[in-house]
Amino acid sequence: MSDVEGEAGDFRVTLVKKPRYIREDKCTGCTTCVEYCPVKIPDPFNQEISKNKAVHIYFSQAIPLITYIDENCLYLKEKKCKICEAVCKHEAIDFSAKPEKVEINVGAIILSLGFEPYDPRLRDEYKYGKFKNVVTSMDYERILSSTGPYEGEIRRSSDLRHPHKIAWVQCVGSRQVIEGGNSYCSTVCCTYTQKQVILTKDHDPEAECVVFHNDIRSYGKDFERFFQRAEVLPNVRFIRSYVNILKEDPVTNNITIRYSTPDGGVKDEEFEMVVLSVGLCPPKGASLVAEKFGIELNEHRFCKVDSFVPVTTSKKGIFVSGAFSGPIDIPESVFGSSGAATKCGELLNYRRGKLATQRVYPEERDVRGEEPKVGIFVCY
Amino acid sequence: MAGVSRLQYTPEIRIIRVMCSGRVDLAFVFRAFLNKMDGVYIGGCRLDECNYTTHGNYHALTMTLLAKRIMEHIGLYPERLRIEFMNASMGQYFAETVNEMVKKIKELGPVGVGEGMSEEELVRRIKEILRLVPYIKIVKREKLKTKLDKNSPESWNEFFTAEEIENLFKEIPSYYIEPEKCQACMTCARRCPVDAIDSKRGMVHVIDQDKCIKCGTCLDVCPPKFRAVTKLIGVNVPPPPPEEKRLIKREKEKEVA
Amino acid sequence: MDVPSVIEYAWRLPNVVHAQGQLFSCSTESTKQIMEAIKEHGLNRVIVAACTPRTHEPTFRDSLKEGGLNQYFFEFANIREHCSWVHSKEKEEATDKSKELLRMSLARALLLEPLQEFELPVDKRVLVIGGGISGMTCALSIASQGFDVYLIEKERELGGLARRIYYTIEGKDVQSYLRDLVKRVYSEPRIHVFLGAKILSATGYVGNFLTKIESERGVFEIRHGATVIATGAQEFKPNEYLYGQSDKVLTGLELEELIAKRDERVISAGAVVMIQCVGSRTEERNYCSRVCCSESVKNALKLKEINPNVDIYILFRDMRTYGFKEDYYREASKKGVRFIRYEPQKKPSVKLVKESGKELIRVTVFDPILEKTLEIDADLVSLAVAVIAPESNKEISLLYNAQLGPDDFFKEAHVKLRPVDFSTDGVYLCGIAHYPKHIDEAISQALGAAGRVITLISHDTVIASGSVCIVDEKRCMGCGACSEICTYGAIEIYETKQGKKARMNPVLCKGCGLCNSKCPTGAIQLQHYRDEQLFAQIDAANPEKEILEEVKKVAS
Ligand SMILES: Cc1cc2nc3c(=O)[nH]c(=O)nc-3n(C[C@H](O)[C@H](O)[C@H](O)COP(=O)(O)OP(=O)(O)OC[C@H]3O[C@@H](n4cnc5c(N)ncnc54)[C@H](O)[C@@H]3O)c2cc1C
Ligand SMILES: Cc1cc2nc3c(=O)[nH]c(=O)nc-3n(C[C@H](O)[C@H](O)[C@H](O)COP(=O)(O)OP(=O)(O)OC[C@H]3O[C@@H](n4cnc5c(N)ncnc54)[C@H](O)[C@@H]3O)c2cc1C
Ligand code: SF4
Ligand code: SF4
Ligand code: SF4
Ligand code: SF4
Repeated sequence: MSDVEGEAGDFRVTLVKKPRYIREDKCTGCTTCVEYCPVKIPDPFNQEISKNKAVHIYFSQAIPLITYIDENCLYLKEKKCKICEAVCKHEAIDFSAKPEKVEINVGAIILSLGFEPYDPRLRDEYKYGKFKNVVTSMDYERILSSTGPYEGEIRRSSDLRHPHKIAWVQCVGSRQVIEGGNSYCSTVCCTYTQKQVILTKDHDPEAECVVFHNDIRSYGKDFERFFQRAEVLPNVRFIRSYVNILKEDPVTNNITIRYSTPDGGVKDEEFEMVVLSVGLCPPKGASLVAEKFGIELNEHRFCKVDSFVPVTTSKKGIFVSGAFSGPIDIPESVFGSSGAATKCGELLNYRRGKLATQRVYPEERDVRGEEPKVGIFVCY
Repeated sequence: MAGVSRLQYTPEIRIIRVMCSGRVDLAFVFRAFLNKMDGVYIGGCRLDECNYTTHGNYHALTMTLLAKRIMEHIGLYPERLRIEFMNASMGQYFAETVNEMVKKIKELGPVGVGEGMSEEELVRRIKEILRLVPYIKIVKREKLKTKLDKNSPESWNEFFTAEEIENLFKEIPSYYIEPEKCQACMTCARRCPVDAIDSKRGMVHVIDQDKCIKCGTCLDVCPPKFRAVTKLIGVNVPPPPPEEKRLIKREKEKEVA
Repeated sequence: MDVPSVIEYAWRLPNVVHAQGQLFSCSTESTKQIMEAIKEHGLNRVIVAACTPRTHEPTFRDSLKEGGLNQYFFEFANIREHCSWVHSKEKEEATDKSKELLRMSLARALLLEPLQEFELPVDKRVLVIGGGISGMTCALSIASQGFDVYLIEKERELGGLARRIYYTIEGKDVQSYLRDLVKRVYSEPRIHVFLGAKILSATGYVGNFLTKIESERGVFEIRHGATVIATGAQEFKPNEYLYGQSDKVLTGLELEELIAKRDERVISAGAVVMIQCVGSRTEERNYCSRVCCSESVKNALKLKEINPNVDIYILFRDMRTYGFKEDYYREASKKGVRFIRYEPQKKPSVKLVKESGKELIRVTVFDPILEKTLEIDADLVSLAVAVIAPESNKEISLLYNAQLGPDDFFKEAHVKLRPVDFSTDGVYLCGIAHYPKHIDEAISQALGAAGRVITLISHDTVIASGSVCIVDEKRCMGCGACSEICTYGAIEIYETKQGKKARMNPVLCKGCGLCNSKCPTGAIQLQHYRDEQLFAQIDAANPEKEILEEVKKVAS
């Protein structure tokens, strides 16, 4: 989004559409180009854990299900290669594509910029990026996924082995008033961690899972039962303690965590993998967007909302939905979005249906009594 | 998912689309075996994640367990039938389970052949089951409705027992109209859902045992003053009276008069 | 995959009058080709052998409609996802398999029947049950978009629970917001408020409900196209911790009222103890009531504001001040509110004592951090009691086929993706009837429900799929196997001269086909997936037989 002008009922928004270098009307998603592309890059969708090619489909359920060319492409960088262009049978590769300016005229705007996962590199103590087998919960989401970096197998990056003893550390970047942390609670991490524990046990019933937490915030619908389900699984422990991610074994790359015990002592325990339950931060570029749209942010740099009507921003005609209004989970994002939509409806109701036209189909042929006459179309 | 992710699996399977695994009829399974399919794989949504509030996948599960026992009963390997629950992102799981199943079935050999059964025998047995599907659905209706515990799949196997199936087939009833009692009122014929009753005016009604699905409607509706329909278990159905003897007395008397 | 050989094979199948390859079947160009071929060759069945019906079926069905053919004469053979993509290393097998899939599709296609999607008129009026903040917010949003709303409230006043809430944790004035909201409701001519209302009966389905109510204004029959359930929740009344026995033991809301009224007992209190999770997170009510941690922190901060010297102890299991509310928890802590965690097996206990002529409540609690038992003498004890679902939810649930969850809160169609819908079409949900939540969250959800309602009633009709069940009455023996499993209530068993028979309400049928599999006689058939259509497809998988010829016979 590059520019906004106008007011509620009549906004003019300028968008800059980045080139994908693939013609959407031609590409069939056959992925021949991906096979031939010589450039391997860390897969952005899979948290850069596994590799993908410079030309690739973003992820297996992407819409449209076609490729795009990443900026690491040899041709884009050094004007050589163009292998993809040669192998594509559908003439879908188009290196002449340029960023496209699109102007749209809208009556209302909904900002659904979402969130940015907390970056634990901001604080040394998390050892993220230092100890090989410390991952974020976002990394772990991908690791658990059947379309993830290890095709649904839980592996750790140091030796690609299946870890059997995994620790989760809660409130990473949340509930702390220190440099680089957020004072608020991120609301979703307690429950997603329980989900991850349950899924881990589904993958590997023998796995030992330990969650180091502060309060367990199972405040949502049916969350308490979900927590109990995770808690009673064999070899799963929930331990209420702050932790210290102490050291990495130079040979095994296992990680030692120090935590306090209920009797007031401390204990060191070794894990094969550590998952940091990172919190939700405001989306990147929130300030820029706020400036362009003329909306205010709150003290945490999420969108400032009306205190009773949380889909309303400080500017008329601009609404907000999802995690940009604060850390919330999927169901709350979904109903809030429907709420933001209805707010637009209230604003623009006077011209509802004005742009719609009725589609007319020819009259249906009566085929009773006809012999079946079949036409077959085979897609190449 | 297996498709868009290009996950490779063995090419032996043919997928037939239904909107819910609950639509997979007991008859479909045996119809497939009748057509020399060596295995049947039913893919449903994960339990408790049915797209419909009917939870058709739980019903598909009980149906599968029942079908397996019936297969055993007629001498087919129950491993030829398998049900798996998955969601759209579990393409990998789909591919794995299909591969595993195809491998297993290759070990078992072609249907019937692997069991050392002649083709005629196989067809005869399966056709018999297909004929009994309505009866099985009626008798096992309550049990087929059970929502099994999804967390203890190890207990599922015992849900239907071999003995139970044994009894199911031992107790197959036949409905028979006693010629002496039938007054040709046509009530049963009108009500029979499959038109299995030969009813001519003034003639003793006869149930076509090949068409009859053993629902018992005729028994229920035959007027109490006649009570002409009986339920026979474990005995052969007497042959119908010859055409000329089917004229009902009352009518005969009239004729004489 | 060897597409030309698949096309050649297609030509050899019975009843095929046209077969061609297409570079990319779902492109506009190709769909146009299909449309033209229908006209040119008089096609009455179309099979596309391509990728997945899940995403592309609507496109091709549309081409049939454009070609003047009933859209249900379309059949998909998924040779891409089921063959070429997944068997890419086995070209020959993939080709053979494609041919077989094509033959199977053809068998089914021969038996396809034209089906009509029917359009049901939608009544544009909306019934909202419950006049709390959620119900009012929802009603206002719908009304302001030009639709009539009947807002029915069982009490003699609008407002619900919010009447007892004075301020939010952020310090906003709830009462003035509520007064304004009520005023807006009454001044909106499209909202018809019924107070003291009780629902006598309700029938109908999406777009066409009929609800009979009795209210202060008499008995009315209301026709409406959509129903919103916003019946809220209640405060749990405990029978522990001396509640009801001593006037020094209050619920959180009762304390809030005293604070708001600047009651002498509050102003002069030397020590206040708040006990969390009273009636929540227990075996009986195995859920967290969500609002109570914040409610206590909010009251504690207010108390400190009025009387900075008061000693406040909050006895908790987990502090669940989620999101930005965490900041207030920290603030309370900073202001000296003492938070003491207790384990559920070592619940605090209370007893009435007299100290120097003064009656006090002595609270005993084990502090696991200090590892010792504490005794606190309190002037007031506030219990953070559970939020519970009203008993009457059960009635509403039956009236509108709106399911309840294990704790008697209403159950949405899908926890994540359809949080304000019911699986019953045309019925929606919002507010704390769904689950305890704060006012802003309830408002957000109420607007969400309004959005869903508008999506329905802004259309003149709803379109029901043609692929629904029909009953052949002659074949039906009235056993009820179908109706007992159809949770959508689409099948009814009724008395006829020929005994009991099943009858369909096609509008309610979702087309899952479970009843079809249950029916012993085959009387009920899911159209488009009828027994004989699927049998034909199964049979055609058998390469040996001349099945297609047999299917052909059936078809003609
Ligand atoms: C590790 C982890 C696990 C989780 N697990 C669960 C779970 O199991 N269940 C659950 O309910 N919730 C879970 N959540 C929370 C869930 O992810 C959020 O509630 C949800 O994603 C919020 O949706 P959204 O659309 O508001 O934001 P997002 O999902 O962040 O989407 C925002 C979109 O906006 C785009 N965008 C941002 N800025 C711009 C711009 N300037 N211009 C154009 N586009 C822009 C982004 O690229 C992005 O696609 C989890 C969160 C994390 C971190
Ligand atoms: C103890 C407690 C403390 C709370 N503290 C706070 C707080 O500090 N901050 C905050 O933001 N939120 C708080 N809340 C939550 C807040 O009260 C609700 O979010 C808000 O009131 C939303 O209400 P509602 O409209 O969904 O339900 P309600 O307010 O319960 O309204 C439902 C209405 O429906 C009516 N009704 C019920 N059944 C029927 C029927 N069959 N027919 C007709 N009418 C019917 C009821 O009479 C009622 O008027 C608290 C809630 C409780 C219980
Ligand atoms: S949700 Fe749980 S883990 Fe996340 S910040 Fe809040 S308390 Fe910590
Ligand atoms: S048992 Fe049922 S199917 Fe058989 S003859 Fe009687 S009514 Fe017909
Ligand atoms: S197909 Fe499903 S929804 Fe339709 S009537 Fe049968 S059981 Fe009910
Ligand atoms: S299951 Fe079949 S026979 Fe029984 S009531 Fe339903 S339609 Fe009629």
